[in-house]
Amino acid sequence: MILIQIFGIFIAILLLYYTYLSYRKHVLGLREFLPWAILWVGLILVTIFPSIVNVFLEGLGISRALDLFEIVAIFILLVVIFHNYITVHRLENRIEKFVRAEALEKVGNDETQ
Amino acid sequence: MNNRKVVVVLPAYNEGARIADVVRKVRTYVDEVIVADDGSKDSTSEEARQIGAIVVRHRINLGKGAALQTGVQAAILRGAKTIVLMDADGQHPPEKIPELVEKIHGGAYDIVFAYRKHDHEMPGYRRFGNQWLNFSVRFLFGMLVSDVWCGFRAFRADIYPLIQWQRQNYSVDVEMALRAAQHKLRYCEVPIPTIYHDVYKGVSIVDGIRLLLNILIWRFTL
Repeated sequence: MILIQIFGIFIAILLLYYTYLSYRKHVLGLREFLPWAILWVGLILVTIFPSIVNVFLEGLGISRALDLFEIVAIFILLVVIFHNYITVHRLENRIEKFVRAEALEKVGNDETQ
Repeated sequence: MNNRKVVVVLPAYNEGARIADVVRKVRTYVDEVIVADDGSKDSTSEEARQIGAIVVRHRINLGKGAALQTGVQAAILRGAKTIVLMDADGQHPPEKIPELVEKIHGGAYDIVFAYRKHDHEMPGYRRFGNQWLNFSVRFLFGMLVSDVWCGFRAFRADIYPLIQWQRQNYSVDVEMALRAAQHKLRYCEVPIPTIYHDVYKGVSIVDGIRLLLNILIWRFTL
């Protein structure tokens, strides 16, 4: 096993543990925990047995496993960025509505003076 | 019921040092003064209340656009017929309020924009930036305004749904003007002297460039 594989496994285990901790602390629900856990376990398997991905390489016309990894990683990052963007935007809107509604609560009577 | 009730909205952020003086000067020209405190960390709200202003306060800082929205909604809830918007830092001369309001009450205009005379009080880079903004608005929207970024303006309360802005930041003044142009509202301008304080909490050159890009986007999205 080469050094880069050991490094990859170490990072994946660390992320898996962090995901589990987040689940234990109820930061993530089961529906959020499972996809992330599957992703990290999959990463560990592919790192230990890189030949697993060979079956996809031919079908997709990609020559190296590393290229497949990079392409999939970019897609995942794009999805995560877009999801975060939407979530942040929605939170901003909710916070703004709440703050503005609170500010306007007492308008109309003299409590604002 | 006052059918000509005039309310001034002052969006304020950390203006504790100046707000009392501004409210004191402004209130002699209008029926009510509303200070929209956008989450100030200083004594802005207390100072404004003490001097007799109505204060609506955001718990956190949301931006000038949000403060203006809250302030204008408060003014409408309190029965305002004409709403005047001014900066809370004393850069707009209150003695010009009657001139703006008179043009609304005359019935010929829906919204009146103040414009700063481009004299040497205004820093050169800002004068240059303003000219570019005004040119863009004229070229892309056919709106002839001399100072689209000036936040001193008055409008009839019932046109608020037409000009209601979405942006929460410094670009709100421009968006409001462009929405007025989009709905073909009747507008005119009133000159005001330029006042700059030693410490000016203005926008940067980068903000100006971003605003120019926004104007281009608004051309296709408004």
